Amino acid sequence: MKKSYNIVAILVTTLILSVLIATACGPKTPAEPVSTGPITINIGVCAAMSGPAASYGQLGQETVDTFLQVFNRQGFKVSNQTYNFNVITADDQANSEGGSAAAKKLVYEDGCKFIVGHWTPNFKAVQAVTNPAKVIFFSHTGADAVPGPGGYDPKTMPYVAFPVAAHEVVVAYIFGIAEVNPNYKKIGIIDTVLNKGIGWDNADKQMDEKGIRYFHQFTQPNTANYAPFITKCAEEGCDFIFTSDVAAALAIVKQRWDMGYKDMRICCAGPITSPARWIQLAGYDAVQGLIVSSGAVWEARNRPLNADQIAMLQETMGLLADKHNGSFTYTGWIPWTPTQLFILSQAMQKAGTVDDTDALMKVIRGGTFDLPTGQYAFSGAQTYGSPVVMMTGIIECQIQGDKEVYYSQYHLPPLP
Amino acid sequence: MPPAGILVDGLVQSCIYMTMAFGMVLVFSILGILNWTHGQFYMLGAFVVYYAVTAAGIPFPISILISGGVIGGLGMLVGRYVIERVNVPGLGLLYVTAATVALNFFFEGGAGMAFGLEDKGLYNALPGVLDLGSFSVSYQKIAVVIFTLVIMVAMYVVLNFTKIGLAIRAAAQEPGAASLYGVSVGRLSIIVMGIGCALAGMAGAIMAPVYGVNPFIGGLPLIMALLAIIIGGIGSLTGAIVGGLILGLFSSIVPYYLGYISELALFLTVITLLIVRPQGLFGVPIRR
Repeated sequence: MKKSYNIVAILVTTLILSVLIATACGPKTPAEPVSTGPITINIGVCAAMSGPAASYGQLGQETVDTFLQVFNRQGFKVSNQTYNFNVITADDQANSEGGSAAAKKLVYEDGCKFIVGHWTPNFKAVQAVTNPAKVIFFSHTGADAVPGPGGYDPKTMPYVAFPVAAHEVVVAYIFGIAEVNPNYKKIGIIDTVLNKGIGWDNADKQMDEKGIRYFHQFTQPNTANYAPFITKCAEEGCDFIFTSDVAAALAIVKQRWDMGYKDMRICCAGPITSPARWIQLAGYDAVQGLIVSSGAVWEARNRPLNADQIAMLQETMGLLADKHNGSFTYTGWIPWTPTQLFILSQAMQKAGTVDDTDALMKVIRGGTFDLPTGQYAFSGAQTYGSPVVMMTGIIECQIQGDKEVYYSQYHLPPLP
Repeated sequence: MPPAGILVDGLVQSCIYMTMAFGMVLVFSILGILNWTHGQFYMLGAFVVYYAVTAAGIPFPISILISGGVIGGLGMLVGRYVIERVNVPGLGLLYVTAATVALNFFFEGGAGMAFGLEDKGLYNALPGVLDLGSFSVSYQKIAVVIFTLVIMVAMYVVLNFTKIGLAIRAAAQEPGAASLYGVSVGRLSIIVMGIGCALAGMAGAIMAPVYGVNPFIGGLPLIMALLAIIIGGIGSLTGAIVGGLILGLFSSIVPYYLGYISELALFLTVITLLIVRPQGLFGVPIRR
């Protein structure tokens, strides 16, 4: 009896195994087709969404969300798969603590492998989170992010790149002014002492080499009364005053007018939200001739424009105008997140991956990318140890009436 | 000698610091507390005048008075329902400091949520400049100086020639004796709180066209008012005026010569004064 049970057990086991093997090796029926819709990649943005700079952060979020409506219609392809971007913005409060918290949220809660469009002064705090996590961080050079003692070390920060050479580009504004006004007397430079350091030392050196006549002053942060500094500029014979701070520019525009220095022209390295707002804040006459940064890349002269990218940006401007009662003139958002998304999508296509940040950084470092005003390359060649900075250029416009009118442009030579 | 324009600018700064410091000292002399919300009343006064002019179309001079009334009323509410309640014997000073510091952040954040964070301007309130040869001064800044003169004269008249002024001076000197003479010190405290905050509100209102309005403009005037009080002597109304005058001229002249290290120079000066003469220029000598 026991012997017959064993035989039955063996037969049943063999039968089951046979069926399993036959199923595994037998002909398969065709699988149901899998959806090939676009895959969304989360991109983080640390921006000031509260505090004095919040208006730029909030405007930046609105413009990028609208841009993505246009960009994601086609998306971009990597290895036959279409991808879209989804931008997640975290409030970094424009300070180190906020930057660290925002970066942690984006990296560890939202799973972002990329943080782009960074413009607030907390580079060190954010990269302290992103680098250990191998998250690619696109920031801007400035007081706390200058190669060397300025806080940026490419060797210890291999996942950082600077698509916006904000500090190097500051001299471009000044060179642009000098080019358009060859008979200028002197350019007064007023900046907050927070930006004093290697960045401005380098800029001063470049201006000296180019023979620019300038007079440099630093102020305390949150200065409201610029009368002493404007007076000094007037005594030095300055016919232009340049500042990299938009809030300072607004104060100086009005105060110099009130002090009677109506011929003194003011230039600002930042974009303004709209001429109409500045007219409301400082007065129509005071604002005329104000020179500001422009992101209206379609106005670039003597550059091979990228028609597709410009079409996307202009369509976005149209959608924004629809949302804002038919008028939307702010273009300051363009050189930041949207341009950096162009770079990121091209890097992913070149590297053939959307999440291997080592492979992506290899492509980014020293790589050339198509941007709205032509091709630009990151420095750093293919080796670690040298800064990864993209030197683009600037377009300046001046306020005439209630409009921003093209004034000048200047392009800097690429770094090695 | 600095240029005349710098001296005029310093005088304008002095006017605001004087007004702010005067209001703070008035409150201190009766309530015995430093109101850390004083700067935010300056900020709120600026917002009141902004909306009174732009939204309601009220002429600027009248809007300043409205600002004083509204902020004075708010100050009385704060005095009655916050300061009075936490100013208990013993730890009252600590509680009041904590409460007014908390209100400081509350008003700043609340203003940001209610009015938005963007700058607002009143450039067209008293537009134009007066050309004085080597320099020009805007009518807005001239208005600041005139306003301060009017306020100081008004306060002098009120404090020296009215019954309420007499009561305030009596309560400031000897609250116990004053109450024996029928002065309701508690009610007087609320009124003085209202007057002090109204002064701050009107200071913010008169400066709104000069520097613009946003929720963050209250911090610097508060600090400068405190420094003016320290220089002039805590508890001295004359000291508040003189301290404000010195500070305003300092804050215009020293940056002209020293640039961004002017603040360092300012604080070193104040520290030195505290060491050499801790009671300030007009305060009561401190007996160790």
